[in-house]
Amino acid sequence: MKEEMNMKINQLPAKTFGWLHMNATDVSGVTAKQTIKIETQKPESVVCVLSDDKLQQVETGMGKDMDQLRENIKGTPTFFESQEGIKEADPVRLKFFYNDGVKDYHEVGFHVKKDSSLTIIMDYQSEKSKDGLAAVQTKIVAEENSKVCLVQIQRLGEGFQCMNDVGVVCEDGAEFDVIHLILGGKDTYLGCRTNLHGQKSSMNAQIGYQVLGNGKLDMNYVADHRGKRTISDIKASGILNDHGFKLFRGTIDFKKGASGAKGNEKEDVLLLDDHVVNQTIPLILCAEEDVEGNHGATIGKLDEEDLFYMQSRGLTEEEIYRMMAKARISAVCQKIPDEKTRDEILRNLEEGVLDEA
Amino acid sequence: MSEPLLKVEGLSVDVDDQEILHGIDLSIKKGETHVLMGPNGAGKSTLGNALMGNPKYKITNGSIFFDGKDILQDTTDQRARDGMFLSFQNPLEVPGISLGNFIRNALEQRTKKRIRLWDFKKEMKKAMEVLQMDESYADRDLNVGFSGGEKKKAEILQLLMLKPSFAILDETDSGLDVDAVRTVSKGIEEYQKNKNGALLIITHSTRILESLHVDQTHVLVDGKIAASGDVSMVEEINEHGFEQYEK
Amino acid sequence: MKEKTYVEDIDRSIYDMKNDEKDAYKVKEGLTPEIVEQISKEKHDPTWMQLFRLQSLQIYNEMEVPDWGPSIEGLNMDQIVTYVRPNTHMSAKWSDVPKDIKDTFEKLGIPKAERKSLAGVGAQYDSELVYHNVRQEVAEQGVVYTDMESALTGPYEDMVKKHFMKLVTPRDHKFAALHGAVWSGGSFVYVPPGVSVTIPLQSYFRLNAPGAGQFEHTLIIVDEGAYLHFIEGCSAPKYNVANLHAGCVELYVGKNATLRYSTIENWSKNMYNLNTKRAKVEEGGTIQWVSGSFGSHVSYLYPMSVLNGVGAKSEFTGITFAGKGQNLDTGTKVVHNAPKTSSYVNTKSISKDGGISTFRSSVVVNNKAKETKSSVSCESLMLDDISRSDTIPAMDIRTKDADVGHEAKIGKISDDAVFYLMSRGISEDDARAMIVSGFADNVSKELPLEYAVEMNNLIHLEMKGSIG
Repeated sequence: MKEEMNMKINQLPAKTFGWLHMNATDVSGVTAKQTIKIETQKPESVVCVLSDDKLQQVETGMGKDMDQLRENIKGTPTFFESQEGIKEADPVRLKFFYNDGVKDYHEVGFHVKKDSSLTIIMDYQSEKSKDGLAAVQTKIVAEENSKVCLVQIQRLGEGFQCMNDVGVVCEDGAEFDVIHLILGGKDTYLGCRTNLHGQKSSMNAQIGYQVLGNGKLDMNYVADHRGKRTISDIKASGILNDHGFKLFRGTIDFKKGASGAKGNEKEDVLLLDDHVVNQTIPLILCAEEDVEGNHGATIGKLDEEDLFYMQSRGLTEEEIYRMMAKARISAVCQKIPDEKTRDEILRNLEEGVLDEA
Repeated sequence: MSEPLLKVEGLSVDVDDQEILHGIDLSIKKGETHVLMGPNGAGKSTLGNALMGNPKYKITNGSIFFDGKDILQDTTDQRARDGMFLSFQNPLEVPGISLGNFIRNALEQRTKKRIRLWDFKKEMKKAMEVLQMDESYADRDLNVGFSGGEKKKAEILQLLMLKPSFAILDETDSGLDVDAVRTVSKGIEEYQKNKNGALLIITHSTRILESLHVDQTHVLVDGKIAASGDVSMVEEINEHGFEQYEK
Repeated sequence: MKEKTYVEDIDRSIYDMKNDEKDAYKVKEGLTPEIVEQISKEKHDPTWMQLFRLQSLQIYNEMEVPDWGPSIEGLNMDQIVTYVRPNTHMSAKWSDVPKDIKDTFEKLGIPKAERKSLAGVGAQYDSELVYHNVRQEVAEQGVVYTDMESALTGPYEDMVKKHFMKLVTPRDHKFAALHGAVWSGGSFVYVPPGVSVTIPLQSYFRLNAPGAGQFEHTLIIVDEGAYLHFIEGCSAPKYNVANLHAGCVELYVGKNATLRYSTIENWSKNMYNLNTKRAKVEEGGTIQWVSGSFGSHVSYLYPMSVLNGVGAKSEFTGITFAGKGQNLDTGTKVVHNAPKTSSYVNTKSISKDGGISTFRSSVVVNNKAKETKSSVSCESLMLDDISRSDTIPAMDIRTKDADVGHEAKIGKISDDAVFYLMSRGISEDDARAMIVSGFADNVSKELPLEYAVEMNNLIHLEMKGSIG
């Protein structure tokens, strides 16, 4: 792709006051090519396929412009398929390694068949960098009673831009879990839309992030409740330091007909520097009577009672903040079902690799 | 006679602009165990929080001397590093920090020394045995998913590990079954073995005191100490309740 | 399965009485510089005001309608009559008010409330005030309560000029610009330093003419250490054509002053209510908003608090009841501009019979606003599956030294709660009615007593004994 693309991404499902600048995000001058090679490790039961109509149609969190970017690039997607009824213990591991200055786009897809289960680990890493783009679109179809766990870890170098776009369709009884850890990079755009159209399907998102330096994190999570008794749970927890900027959009959308559905959203942000910008916009849209929707957000400093508890054990305020900041990320790490990945990230945390916070 | 470890004089405390404690006097010497009893709402927990320096509890009058030093201006963590401890009724839950790491962190902060993991683990194991806590709790996130009893045990575990010179136990026995009270009480006994450790046990029942040595008993009613005496008062209250102290 | 209790519409018969149009003067439909100049001439504006109107019109023409919120396609400005003067002059005695107009206000209970529990009353009918009076003892304290027109040319002209549309400028949004161009009527209140007005003042706005717009301007200045409770009521009979309300409320709360501003909005269901309200609060001052939205076809209403002084505080309590044919988009905006400021928002909304209610808010904490506290709580109740209820709260925090909390809940009447009450011998219908009025309770108790009673009656009585 030669020409640059100006994109409007992460649109809020229902617009609000324009002056807040939260309705959508403009990213200008995007160029990318399909250059890097993904290091893939997969269990034998999972096979690669060249095309998949169902996957192609999945809507994603970042929106149409991300699909347009894909078309402009004319790259080849990497699609995987699990086998019906096979509950795979070993994960599919996709490692994306970017050299400095690389601007790459990749599309991957997972068709998780009936009654099967699959864990997917996608790890984005790079050289220490001044510049670069890691754009990845991930589409998932979770068939009846399947279980999918998607883990995406962003630990790119500090000059990198990351566009991480996810779209999922859940059929009857399908369970989709996603863990997002945003630990590096400069600007990260993150979209994740789950279409809960099957009855009793569910999505569970755990998001842990730290935004440091002049970093920027722009998110758009949407749980689209269409089927009866569908369940969504979105938990985001993170820290902002230095001049970090974060915008969290989280939407629970109860469509008419989604009776018995439940949606929960919780955001917890710890602000560590006086130059951070924290934006939060949690939506609950509701066109159905028999639903339960909840949202809660806590933003700013630590709760005084909590601080008092820690202080009563002799910890200074500074030490408590350091500890609590780390705890937020560790708590999300601990949810990673793959021991190898989990230990590696936790060790990174312990060794203070991510300790600038 | 030696100076008391804790000396409280004429202490009045406000919570949300309402005076809860009206002029409390209290003096506890090294190694002594005092019991503070009283009906619900008398202000027992308020006293514990005020001593520990919870900013929500405003001291409007009086003084607190600890180890001969006026500590009114000291922050909570300063008081803790000087040797005070408060066991909470509702301890905080922190996902992402294990109980073990938390205690180790707190210890290192107090001593300003790096603690060898091996020594720490050994000591922790010993303390956990006393409290009949499964060792796996050390690796579990601080109080997350702990039952009421497990949380109280985790508080006493911190008491044993941090070895404060003065500890306030705020209703450590409330909501516990008989077995758990016995275990927790054993932990407290273990703490008492350290001859210099002083205790203020806040409770409104007497079960936890059965196997403990008690030096003095105080009854708090409507924000004032209505009576003080020796251990026999505990028996009294056990039989007749607090009515005799209420006006 | 048991048939569900049907929740009746609010009984609107009192509000729906119509009077014949006997107005003395009205402008043509639509919006042109000529019409604006005509209004200005009719109202004997000072020159600066005439210019202000024309500038506002220009801004109106330049601005777009918002790209968010309920559709206002049914509102055609070319068909709206922006100025209707009733055939009377403002009076300080009800006996001087023409009979049909007086009867209307009698039925709405205004003169009675004035005798019983108010310190002063202003009554607007279409574009002009027909009655304005303030109790002598309150006036003697130096409290000024008058219509905007008198204020504009009287001894307070400078004060008005200094504050008029400075907090809500015509550039704020398209309908603020419209207001600037065609505003008429409304009240001016000034409470001098240290004066506490112990009983409330009330302005009542009644729109009678079909296809007309009402654009009243309320300007209140509560000086240092003073206290005022101001009540605003509004209603209109229902017509088949669109009516428009684009009022503007500007409140200046001085140092350590408190202003309580209560509104019961009961416009008819052909009304487009595009209202703008804003308060600026100085050091140690408090603004308390109490807002009940029951009427209108479409509503855009977000009273805004600008906390400019150290320790300034804002409290917002609101309830919105959206029934058939209603799309009510309500909420609040808060800007924390100074240290130690705090804001508390507590809202409830109920949707039924295909009604749409949206809670929309924004809390902005600027970098200067250290030690800020903000807590927002909104709860929505869906009474059937043909209605809609959306919650769109935004937060923008730019200092670490803040404590911001937000809670939102949406759901139906809890079966467990109904079961619990029934297990105590209460019928299902009564149980549901109790739960709905309980849901609204912490808002209704903030309303002035008569209104609270009225609201409870509306909710409770209408639910009770009316099984679908």
